[in-house]
Amino acid sequence: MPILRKFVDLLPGVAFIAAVILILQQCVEAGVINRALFPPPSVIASTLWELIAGGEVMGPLGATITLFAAGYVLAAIVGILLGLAMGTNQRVNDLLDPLIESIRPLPKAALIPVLMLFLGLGTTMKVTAIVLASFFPIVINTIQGVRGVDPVLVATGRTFGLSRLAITFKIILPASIPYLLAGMRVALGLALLMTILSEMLAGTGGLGFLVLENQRAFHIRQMYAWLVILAVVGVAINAAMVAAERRFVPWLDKYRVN
Amino acid sequence: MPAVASVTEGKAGGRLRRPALRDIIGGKRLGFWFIVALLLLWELSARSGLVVSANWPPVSLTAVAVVHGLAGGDLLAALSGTLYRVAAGYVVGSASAVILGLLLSTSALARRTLEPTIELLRPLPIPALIPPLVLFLGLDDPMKITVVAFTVFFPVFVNTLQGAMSIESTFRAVAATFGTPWFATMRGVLLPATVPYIFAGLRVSIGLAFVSAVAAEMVAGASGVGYYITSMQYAGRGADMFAAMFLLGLSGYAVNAGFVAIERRLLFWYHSAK
Amino acid sequence: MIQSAAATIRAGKTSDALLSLEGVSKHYGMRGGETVALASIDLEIRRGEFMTIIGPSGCGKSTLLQIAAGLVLPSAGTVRLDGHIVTGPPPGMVYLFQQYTKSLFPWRNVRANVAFALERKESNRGRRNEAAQSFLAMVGLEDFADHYPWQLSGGMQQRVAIARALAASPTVLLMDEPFSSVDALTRMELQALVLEVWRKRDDLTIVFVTHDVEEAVYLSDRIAVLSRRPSTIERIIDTGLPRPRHPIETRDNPIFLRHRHELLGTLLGRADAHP
Ligand SMILES: Nc1ncnc2c1ncn2[C@@H]1O[C@H](COP(=O)(O)OP(=O)(O)O)[C@@H](O)[C@H]1O
Ligand SMILES: [Mg+2]
Repeated sequence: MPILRKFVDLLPGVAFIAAVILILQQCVEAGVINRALFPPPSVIASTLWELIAGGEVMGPLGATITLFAAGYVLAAIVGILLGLAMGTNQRVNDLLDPLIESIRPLPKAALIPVLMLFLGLGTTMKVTAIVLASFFPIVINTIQGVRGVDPVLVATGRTFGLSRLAITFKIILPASIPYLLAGMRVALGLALLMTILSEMLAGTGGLGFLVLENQRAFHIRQMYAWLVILAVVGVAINAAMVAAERRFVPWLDKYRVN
Repeated sequence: MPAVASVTEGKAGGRLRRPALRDIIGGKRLGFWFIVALLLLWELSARSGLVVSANWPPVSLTAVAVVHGLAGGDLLAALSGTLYRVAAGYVVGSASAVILGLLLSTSALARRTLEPTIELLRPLPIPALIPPLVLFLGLDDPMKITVVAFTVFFPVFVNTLQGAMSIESTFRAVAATFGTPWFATMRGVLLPATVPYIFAGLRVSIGLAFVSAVAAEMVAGASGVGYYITSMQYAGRGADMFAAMFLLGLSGYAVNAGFVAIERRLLFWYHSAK
Repeated sequence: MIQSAAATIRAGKTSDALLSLEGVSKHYGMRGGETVALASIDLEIRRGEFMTIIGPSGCGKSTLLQIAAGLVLPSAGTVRLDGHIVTGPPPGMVYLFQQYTKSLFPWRNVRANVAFALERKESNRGRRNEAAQSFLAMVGLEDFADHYPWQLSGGMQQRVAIARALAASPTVLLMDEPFSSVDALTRMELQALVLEVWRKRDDLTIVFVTHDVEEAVYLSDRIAVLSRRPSTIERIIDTGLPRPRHPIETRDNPIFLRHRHELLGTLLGRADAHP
């Protein structure tokens, strides 16, 4: 009975979460927790429901997810292409490696103010910030993956008459995927972080902006409701990544074990 | 596998290069000169009036601002405040992560009880945490240190647990054979065997700690490099802003290098056994 | 009965060199700590023949074959295929790696691995897969097309590698110790398979590398014996064994036994073993 087994496995975890929510509810009602700072979970839930039922949630949710996706996908494309170029061509690597290594230690959050100066408060600035922060782990892991590709695989491509370009995309790229994905997982967290932070600093909309704005305006119920939505977005994006890996790279874990 | 290596050596054919030019800009030096060229371009574009803006000061003025900032104390104070919060949050977050990770590795029930909660909290983007924490902890150090600690916690926890679980069977069996008591097993067997994993988590966390500290300083309060950078941006003092970014990057680099050095020393047995 | 041209060649009536190595040598490493893998090799391989190169481990067999394949450039000398100088992997020649498990793509299933060889010639995916399927049938793996290489045994992986090489329809197949890491029975099955494939395709030339004397005699028309490093071709033997070969009877054939005896003697360096 695999389903039953799964249910039993999940039970303690779900029970724990339920218990925490119940205890919080009791504490707030008993006045142990200041109601002004933390409304009862039931109140947050009903606020959340209002946002969803009223359709208010759709705009900011869509904006944030679109922003994240645009930045992340762009970072992945740039990072993978650059990683392939640097990993396969020593000249390109010699040229760019010192630059990348000297920008890498900068906490990327610090870039946002500069970008705001030059690119304004709009989407261009935010997407640039996300790309700049999240493409580093992708480039670095891709390079590492490319360097680790077994020479036999490359020579196999040569003996079957593939061009250098074809070898890069048909052999080196797929062979580097385990590393590349490791980089993309790190980048995922950074991209989400930069999405929310740039929304907060630009102050022009999105989930991050709403959480901060409601706190500043002391709309505490709304702040928590938006926070819950943001948490769900985080969990959903991570789950989507896991599902995408299973779907598109089914050979990955077997390959790694071998 | 020499036969394999020989396969890659293919393009042995002697490509002729002029040695003089190659010695000056060849190899790694190429990248160095590339950076120099970019900095020159920056300097020239600012000086020649190609880009006229207070936000785009020449590099030379930025260098002057670095010196002034360090000497004058303003920037230095901001930087040391940030470093303090990074350090404090890092210690609190990683210590609690290691302890919880080791504890959870000993009990399947505890893992099943707490893991779903942890998995739900882990993907939460860090900046989202700042507004509610401001309500409870205010705008200053306690809030920011908590933000850093929360950021650092997850990678260290996940790695610690993974490490402790992976060595569980063999090492624990050895310990059990010798009848080692529980606490001694924890400290004497489990902890050292998990250390390489813990360090992997700690290494990832350094960068994250810096990012979250700077983010918290930008969003709330009036202290630290994060705040310094945003206020210089508002004030239109580009040189000071770039100087702060430069020093922040330098600190990030130094802390990372220090960490790697320490890790090498402590984990030489692990790396040489591999 | 009408004999085809290739069959005539195989009967040894023509000596038309398809692949030739002239004064090929190879040094590895920098000045100072240099390894001379190949001293000076002259070798001609005829169209349609089954040629085996044998020699002790580390004598430069893989190096020689990779030079022939255009994968490695020689330090001196030239390789010609059909009269044209080889400077890179030429079309029509496929090199089968000694490390066959590493040469299969773990991200492609068995069918897609074989179809890889067809991607330059056939742009229609469906037709490619169909063709791949028929090559898999040739090596007896039609039921494993949807498996991934790492789900198969060593011998099966080697079959996939062979099917993929055949799919490229090469005129020359270079096989580097293809059966050195499979068990004895599998090895005999695979030998039979290779002979069968070679028999069916009249114009196929196989250059086979091994360090196993029995395998060399059993499979080949001619055997080139490499000396120890720095290696040269020590001698070339025309086996003259009748075809088709039979896994048991051929091995009892007096000609087989004589060649085996001689070759073992040569390789062990015993002068008295020579006739
Ligand atoms: N890429 C290489 N670099 C340096 N030495 C090599 C390389 N490839 C092969 N060799 C050396 O050349 C000699 C012949 O190797 P190889 O051709 O693999 O021999 P075999 O296949 O007969 O076992 C060996 O001594 C080996 O160490
Ligand atoms: Mg070899």
